[in-house]
Amino acid sequence: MKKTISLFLVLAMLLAALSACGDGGSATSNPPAGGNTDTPASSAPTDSPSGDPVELTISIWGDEARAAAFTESLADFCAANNCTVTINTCAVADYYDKLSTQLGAGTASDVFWVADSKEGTYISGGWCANLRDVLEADAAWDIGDFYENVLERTDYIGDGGIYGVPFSFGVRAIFWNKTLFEAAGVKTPAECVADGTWTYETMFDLGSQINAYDSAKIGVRLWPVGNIGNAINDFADIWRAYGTDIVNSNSTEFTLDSEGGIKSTQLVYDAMFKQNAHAKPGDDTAFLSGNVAMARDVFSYMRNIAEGSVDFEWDIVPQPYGDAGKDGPLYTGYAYWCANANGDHVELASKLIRYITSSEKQLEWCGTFLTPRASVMTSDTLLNRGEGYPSPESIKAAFVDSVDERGLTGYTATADWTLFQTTAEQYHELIWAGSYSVEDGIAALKEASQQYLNR
Amino acid sequence: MTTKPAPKIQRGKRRRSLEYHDSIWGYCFIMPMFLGFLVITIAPIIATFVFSLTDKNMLRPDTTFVGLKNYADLLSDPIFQATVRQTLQFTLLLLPANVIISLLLASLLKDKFKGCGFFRTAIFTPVVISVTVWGVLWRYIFQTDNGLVNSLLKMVGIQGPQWLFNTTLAIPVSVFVTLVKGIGMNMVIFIAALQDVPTEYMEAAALDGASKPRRFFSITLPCISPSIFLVLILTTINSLRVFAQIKALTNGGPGTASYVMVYYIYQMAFGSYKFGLASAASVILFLIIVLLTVLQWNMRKRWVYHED
Repeated sequence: MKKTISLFLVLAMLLAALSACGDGGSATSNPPAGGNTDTPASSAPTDSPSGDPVELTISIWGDEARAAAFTESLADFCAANNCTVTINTCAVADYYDKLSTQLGAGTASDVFWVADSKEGTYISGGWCANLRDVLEADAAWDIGDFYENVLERTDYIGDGGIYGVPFSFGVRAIFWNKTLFEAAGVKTPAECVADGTWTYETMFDLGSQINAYDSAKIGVRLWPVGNIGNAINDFADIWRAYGTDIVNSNSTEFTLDSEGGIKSTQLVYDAMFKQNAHAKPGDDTAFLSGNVAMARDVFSYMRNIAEGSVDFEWDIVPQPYGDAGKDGPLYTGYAYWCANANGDHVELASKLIRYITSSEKQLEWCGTFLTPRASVMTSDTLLNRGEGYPSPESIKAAFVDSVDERGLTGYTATADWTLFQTTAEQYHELIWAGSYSVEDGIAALKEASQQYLNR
Repeated sequence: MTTKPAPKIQRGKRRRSLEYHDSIWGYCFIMPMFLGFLVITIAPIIATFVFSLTDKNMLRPDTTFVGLKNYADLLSDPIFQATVRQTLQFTLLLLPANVIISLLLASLLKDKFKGCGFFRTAIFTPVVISVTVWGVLWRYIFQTDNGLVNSLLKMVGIQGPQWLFNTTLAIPVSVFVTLVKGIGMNMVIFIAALQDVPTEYMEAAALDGASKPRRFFSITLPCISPSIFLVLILTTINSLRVFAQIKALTNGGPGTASYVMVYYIYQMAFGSYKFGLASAASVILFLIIVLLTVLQWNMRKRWVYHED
């Protein structure tokens, strides 16, 4: 009897606990069928039946200060739409682990950020809502203001949808330490740009001279080499400068085993190990430390330096040219606002994206994010960053004119793009570690990675 | 006369009733813990076994039963095979180094002397530091160009290697960083064990003319063998489950040279979203840990003092 009652108690409490774990059938982790249509939820009223404000949740990477700034920036939208926003922030390193888990569990935010390297996975998986109807419903949003193809490239499903709106793109420039160059008595990148000799070979040669002046100084740091992290991001500009790339335009073929691909990769290898011009793998010395003469980074890095109280003078120049000259387009990655196709407030979430990506709002945020809108890229707000920043002429030459001159392209991410990136990273690391020659490493990478490209 | 036994029966019944009453309350009190154990520990373990038989992908809606395909795929995957080898290499390097050095430190610091508190604290401090912070800190120390180690080597004219970007060095360096982090805990366990060794034995052995090494191997070691056994078990399990140090130090690289089991599982689950495959790898890791623990448990009878 005692055992029976005990068993009954255990079962009863277990049942109660399991019931509590359930979601009452109100949520599901399944994405919409086919992944290319709005869910019924998208046509649901955006106001709650009781008239209480609807709570929209947003997931972004960054810190609490960024969340607070977005909350403030969305205040008018909330007032106009009877809603509130709750912004969940996360370190970028953990962001996708968290987002994927939440999507799988049906607890993801209504709106979230996705970088282009992941968009193929999320969009083809059906987790992002089609925003086209909501975006086109407002003529003032001006879809034509965006750089060519930047919206259409999210159409992984081929239904003409827009599954994300970019808020940031990552064209990069070379940041250089004026004080260090002056002390070393080495010709500066600005002088090379002026006399038309600004090539990758020249840049590595200058880096070598800086290291010869002081072996504790690093001539060039093209990426955070401590952990390469993303070889495709790191190398794309150089490959393109030499007229090649890792894949063809629609990501169906591996193309790095070309003459330009081997030459450009070998150039960086030699800069590291023969010229002592580039930081070696496993080194994390930052430009901010003052020990790096030239570093490649994105627009928002200017703010880090300007607010970082550095004790040296610095400036920026466009990235160098390679054999392809002006025909070598610059690489950029994109980061997108996406609406959770499986969320409870898809339409309102889509409207929020339309609001925060309007030219006015993107201009408001241009100190932090470089937006692929022509009106933002040519605005005084973007170019005149104020005290502590490079001159408007330098900013324009590095981030605007270079794009106009050389063009700008991203990658067509495949559904398995993350695996392709990981494999590319692994084989580049093995090249730096000396396990492969550049040519053999690229050949081995081709064999290992072809399976992850579009079929 | 005939009514005398009745009170005995009543007393027995009352006692049983009280015991029953108490046991019900007992079950009620342990129920939250028991339910937590079921939901947080047992259910995920069962789910892992179930997922390992499916092609579950976190970002795909459909899941199908694939039987033992995941296990077959894993066992034929050269990266997984290398990962298992590297994990065992990590364990084989860490285990003896950890036991010997922590025992040596405990022998040096078991007696009180001026400054022993400082040394004990200094050696134990890494134990309470976040493992991620520890990993990042050592990544900077082992930087190629301007890291502390290579800067010191440069001062004496030696060009240091790429500590974290070398397929041969990546695992040993990770072992070293893990060793320094965890050695304090084992040292404390050994200090407590060494202080419990009866002094009479040592005095008697000394009177009989036993040398210090002889006393150590014939008296001290047998007396502290239960603690050595505990340290062996814990270190083995922890080394097979190592993750954060690898993530912070080498990120599994260069290439896959420092992939260990948990890092592989993490990559499969959150890099490739292949939960089925990651679950199968988890089950294999679970079986390896169980196997090694059972092996150690059965072997204890041969050398652990105070055990049957």
